[in-house]
Amino acid sequence: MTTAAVLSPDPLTATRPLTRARRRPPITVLLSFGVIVVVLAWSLAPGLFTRHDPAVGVPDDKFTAPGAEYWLGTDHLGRDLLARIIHGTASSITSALIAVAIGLVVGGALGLLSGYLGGWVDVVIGRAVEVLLAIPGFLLAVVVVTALGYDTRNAAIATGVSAVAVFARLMRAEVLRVRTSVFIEAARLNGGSSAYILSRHILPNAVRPVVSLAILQFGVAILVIAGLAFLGYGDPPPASDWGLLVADGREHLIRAPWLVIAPGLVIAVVVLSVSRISSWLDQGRTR
Amino acid sequence: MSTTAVLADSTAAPPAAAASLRRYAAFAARRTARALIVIVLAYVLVFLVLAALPGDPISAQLESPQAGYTDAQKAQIRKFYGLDQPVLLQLLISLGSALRGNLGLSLSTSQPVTTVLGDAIGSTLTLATTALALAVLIAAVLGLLSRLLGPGPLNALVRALPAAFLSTPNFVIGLVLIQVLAVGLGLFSLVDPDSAGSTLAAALTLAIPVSAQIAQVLITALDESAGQDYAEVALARGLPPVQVVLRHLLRPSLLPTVTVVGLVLGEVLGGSLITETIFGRTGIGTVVQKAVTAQDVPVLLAAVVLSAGVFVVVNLVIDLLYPLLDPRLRGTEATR
Amino acid sequence: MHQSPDPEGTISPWIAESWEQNEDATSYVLHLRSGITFSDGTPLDAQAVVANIEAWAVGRPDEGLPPVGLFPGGTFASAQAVDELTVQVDFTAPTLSFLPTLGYHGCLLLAPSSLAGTLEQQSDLAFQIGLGPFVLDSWAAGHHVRLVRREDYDWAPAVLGASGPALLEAITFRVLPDVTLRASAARAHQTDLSYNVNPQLLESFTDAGFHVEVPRYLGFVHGYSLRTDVRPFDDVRVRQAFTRGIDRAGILRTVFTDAWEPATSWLQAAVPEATDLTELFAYDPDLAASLIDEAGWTQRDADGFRTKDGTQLGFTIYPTPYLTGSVPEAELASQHLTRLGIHLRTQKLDIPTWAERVTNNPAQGVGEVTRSFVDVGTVAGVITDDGEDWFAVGSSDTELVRLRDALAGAVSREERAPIVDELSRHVLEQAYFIPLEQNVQSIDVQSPELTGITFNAVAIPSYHAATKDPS
Repeated sequence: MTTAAVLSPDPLTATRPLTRARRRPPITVLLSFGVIVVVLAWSLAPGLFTRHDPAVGVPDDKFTAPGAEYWLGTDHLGRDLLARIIHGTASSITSALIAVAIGLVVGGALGLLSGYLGGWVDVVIGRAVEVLLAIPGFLLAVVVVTALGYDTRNAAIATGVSAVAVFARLMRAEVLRVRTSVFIEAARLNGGSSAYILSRHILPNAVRPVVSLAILQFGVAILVIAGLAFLGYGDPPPASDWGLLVADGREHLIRAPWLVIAPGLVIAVVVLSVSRISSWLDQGRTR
Repeated sequence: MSTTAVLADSTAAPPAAAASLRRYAAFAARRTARALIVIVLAYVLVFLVLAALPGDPISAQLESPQAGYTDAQKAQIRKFYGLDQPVLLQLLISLGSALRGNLGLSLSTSQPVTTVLGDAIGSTLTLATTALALAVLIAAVLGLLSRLLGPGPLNALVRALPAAFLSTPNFVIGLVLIQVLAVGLGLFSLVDPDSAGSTLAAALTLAIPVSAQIAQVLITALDESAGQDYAEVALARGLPPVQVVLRHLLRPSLLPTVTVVGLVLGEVLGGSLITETIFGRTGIGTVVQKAVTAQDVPVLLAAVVLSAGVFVVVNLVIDLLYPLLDPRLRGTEATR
Repeated sequence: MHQSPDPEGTISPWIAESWEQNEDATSYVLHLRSGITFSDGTPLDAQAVVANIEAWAVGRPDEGLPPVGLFPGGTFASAQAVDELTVQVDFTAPTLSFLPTLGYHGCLLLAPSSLAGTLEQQSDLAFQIGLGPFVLDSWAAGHHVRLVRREDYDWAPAVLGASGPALLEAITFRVLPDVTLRASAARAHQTDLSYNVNPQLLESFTDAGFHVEVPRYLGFVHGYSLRTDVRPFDDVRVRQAFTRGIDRAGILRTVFTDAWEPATSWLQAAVPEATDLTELFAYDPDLAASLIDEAGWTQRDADGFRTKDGTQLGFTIYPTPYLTGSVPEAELASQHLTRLGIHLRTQKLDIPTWAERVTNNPAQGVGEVTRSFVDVGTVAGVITDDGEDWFAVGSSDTELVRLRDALAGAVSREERAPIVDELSRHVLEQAYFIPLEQNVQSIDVQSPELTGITFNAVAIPSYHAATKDPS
């Protein structure tokens, strides 16, 4: 899913004329931050939010519909779904972070080299990025996870690999933009070394759009990893990564639809919050 | 965007200014050659990644104690499939015969790979084109609404919808559509996924997140052109807003929209993996899925490269049309 | 070739009208029924049968065409046509499994022209000419197969009680690989029969008036095989604690329905030689706890699992990808063993990785068995190193070796039965094998209008006598 190909902060959206000059972030952004805070709390101290055991249930309570005892119902082994969602948060968040880190570090470095050095390096990296972009992102992730073996860590790595090209492209564009700007010319005239210019002038100026992309990619990574888990390239039970919950739940969809809908909604709300924050940051950039 | 290198090049490309047929042809030839190289490189890349696979179905079958083969028999069968060669040699052999149109035999069904893909591609193309058409339709509706509805909660909702569409996992959308429309209301057949109803439902599943991306670009582009002088003049002249949007705003917004349609094609092809699985369609996506499960490398390789090929070719066509579409590049019309 | 053994394991005539075997079960003569033709019109004769038997026993592996795994190719000597309708088959050693294997669905009679084809030709179903009640109308790989009735079919096995052509005019099989989609299609009344629906959904189907069929086959029950050369299974008390610590009734109640039956041995109850040995492995957590105490696993670690000399008492199960329900079963077994302080980890794998990590990996202590057989003689081929050596005992268990030889050398079924009983007792007492439940070949959700489907010993359905009431 190369969502970012389109959502990536580009000059078009940045100069949108509908800028509302307000100092306080809009209410939707505040809500989004709220969601992220809850999710972080879930991943740091899951035990505080549920008294049910995510791994061991009451078999005789299997397929209980959502209600007072089990807020989101139970699964096929009588385990509390809410407890499983909460306890699966840390792993879901970590794998998305790994994916983003890989895309950011590898892609960022490639883009930086490509944009800064130019010449044949740019040509070689440019070609490689072009090839990576030509393979539909989700297919690429499937191929990589197949080669590495199925579990969530590998799915995270595969997702990261499929995001490398997006980061490389943005970083290259940013470097080129900054490089030609007046103050870099000035620094160069003043005799600054390449490394100095790179670390002092180019990187700091390219950071903001890249961070914004990284946040957006975090949401994309959650979706891709969930998609991989859904197809069965995820973690073993009794792990309860969100994508895995949907994948496990769909077998019982006819009997217990909440097993699919609840974790699906959690994924959607988190991704939506993340992308709202990203676009808010992105808008602020040009002001 | 996705084809940065290509687009970056187009600024230096000739057709912008001088409208000579020869220069456009040279530009087209260069672009085409480049696209072909990308496809070949994609083949090499996927081959090498898959070479890292720990096993293959033939060996798994051979080593299974139930089969009870002798070592000599195992060696014979492995040789038949060319699995006894070193990886780089296998790559050269495989690439060589692929360029001549021979993609080898499936390791799990022993059918020719071209047959396997040939049987599947029609279904995926139908799904993909239907999905793209639906996506463009949804995006166009959202785009027009965003301009036609005055500021207010409804407009805000229209503008927020794309983000919500993008954030919902498409397998959740698909599963809900099946339960509600097919099991609940009996609106389409689950047994015959190629029926019109089932195809539409599957296409809608794919189209929803994709339409969001198109809508976002379209809305942005419309907002931009709305800020232009000619649009404001048109409004001031008292033309009805619908006419202004259709006549003056849509046309300049077409270019970025067409570009993004080309780019989201990758998404449609990748997303077909999940959608086809959920709806039981037999297409490239399910071929990939099955090849992955069976570690059927020749099929997997060919299917992935085929998807990449479709993506590259469609975007190539868009790139070649680009100079012809851009109103600022009118001069090139002479080249037609 | 013969009608497959029925669910009680008896063999009855079909294409072979009658047969003889010699005293020591090394030579067989088959008398073929006359007037049978392949669907392309070629008559079935002794030469055709010989060609088929050779394909099953030897195959052409250098062309990618392997022999049939279950066919006793190891002792196969020769097959020859004695006259137009008589075939003689010779073996180098007693081979009681020959006749039942002829009823196995892997041993399909094909026209000689089909057998002569290359691998690529044979991959096309339309190239495979057989002699059953239905013929191929159209197919697309991974998509559908449509069969139509063969009007001149008149050689149905007498045991099925129907003659002449099939009752259904045509059958369309649609490939719906996704388990949820199959269940949804059944639920939406869009199929007459859906295969392999998740067992935990069956209740909602029977409640809605559907008919559920769970044909069992001959073979081993579903269960775990333990490798005794992998710790902690080198200690018989740990193995016994494992088998005594699993609440099979709880698993049946949670994962399956009443249609499933508990295991009574390590063999399916329908195997003619199988005896009820439930008392050797019944659930007994107190006994299990005292067995592991006795084995010295008395310390506990921070997570509450037992330890000995600093090692945790634990192992990993990779549930078999071939059986719906294996994952929740392993998860429940894990919960049961956790109560005893045994750490059972579970990990779900896809088919190729499973083969690599479990079937072909000598360091993996727990294997999972879902194996059918047509003849109990198969058992001799799995228990020691003169075969698959499931329990990694090699030839060290002399009792097992003695029973294996007795079983393999038996020349009559009467002689074999007590040996099978003694062997099963030994395997269960040693807890080499942890039975779970009697296995079913498939889980079929049928619309109530569809009747008359029959199943053979390995639970392969026959649609010859099936009918569908219009409603």
